[in-house]
Amino acid sequence: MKSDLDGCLDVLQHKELVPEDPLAVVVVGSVTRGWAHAASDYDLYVLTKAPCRVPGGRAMAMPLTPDTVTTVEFADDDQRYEVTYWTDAQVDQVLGKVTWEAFDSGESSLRVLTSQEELFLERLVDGVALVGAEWLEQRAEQLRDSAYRAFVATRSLSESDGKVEQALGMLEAGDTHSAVLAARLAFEQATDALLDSHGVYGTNTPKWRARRVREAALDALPFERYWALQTMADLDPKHPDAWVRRTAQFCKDLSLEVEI
Amino acid sequence: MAEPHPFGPEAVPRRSLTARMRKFRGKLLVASGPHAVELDELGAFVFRRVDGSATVQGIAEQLAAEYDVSVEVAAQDIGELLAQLADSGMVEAAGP
Repeated sequence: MKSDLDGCLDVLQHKELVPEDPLAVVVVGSVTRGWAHAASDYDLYVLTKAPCRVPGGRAMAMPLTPDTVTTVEFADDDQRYEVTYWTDAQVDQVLGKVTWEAFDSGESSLRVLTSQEELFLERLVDGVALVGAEWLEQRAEQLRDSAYRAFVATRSLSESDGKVEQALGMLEAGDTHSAVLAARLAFEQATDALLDSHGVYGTNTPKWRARRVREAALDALPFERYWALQTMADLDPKHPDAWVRRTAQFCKDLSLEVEI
Repeated sequence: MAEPHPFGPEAVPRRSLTARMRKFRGKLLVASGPHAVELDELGAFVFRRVDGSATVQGIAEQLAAEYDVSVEVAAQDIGELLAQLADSGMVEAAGP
């Protein structure tokens, strides 16, 4: 696969997928983090002042004004691309939902953004601007100053706590197998909470969790400890209840490390 | 004379698995069921060390080493704090 990100812009321009005077064209996703593989596609965001029509584009509903973003997918030279068009006003609105005022007012962390809106913000953190570096820098700074981190870390922690309680309830009811799965989910969500609190987002892309843990290199969660729990390597099939309780305890230990 | 509490120097307390903890703007908030408390710096210091393996005495020694307080007074204060938290279901005795 190509590794030259600038080549993406040439491909988009050749296919007339870049409108005049875009505010930014940003490559996002695994490619920019060095995690891409042979089957990875190039994900790009194109930011414009006004909504733009794109040949072959598919509208995706958003709780914003305008109420859709357009996505186009195509392949060029055996490389797959997915390009999504957002307006600057839509970005303002997304960031406007995750203010500290909203967080302090008790706005539910469960429903504040859709998963597509979250993915958009999270990908900006590691985006590479092909056009509009200043725009990207400014938006990344706004994201850092927002309460987004607090919203997602709180949600992940709440979900982890809930799963711990379910796991303990299942153990009490004698449903050990379900308890093991609930405890593992609790651990995954506690891990997400810890990473969220350090701005290492990715709740919507759990396949990259191991990568994120390794790169974050946090004292509270060394990679080897993470991997042992994620793969349940230390689960004794004769005593799964002990693993559930140990994992639940570790989830609670992690929650003490999560700064909202 | 104060009523004796179950968290003497040799007691090994642990955090309840159903307690929910949140670090927020320098505070440690702990909730369990309908109960919620905001721990101050010393309370948070103690709560973090309530791990099911450290004794009250051991935690008191760590507290005394960090703050200007004797081990005896620290152990008494820790015991009283743990008793309050236990009443709210936030900690429990793991042993002896």
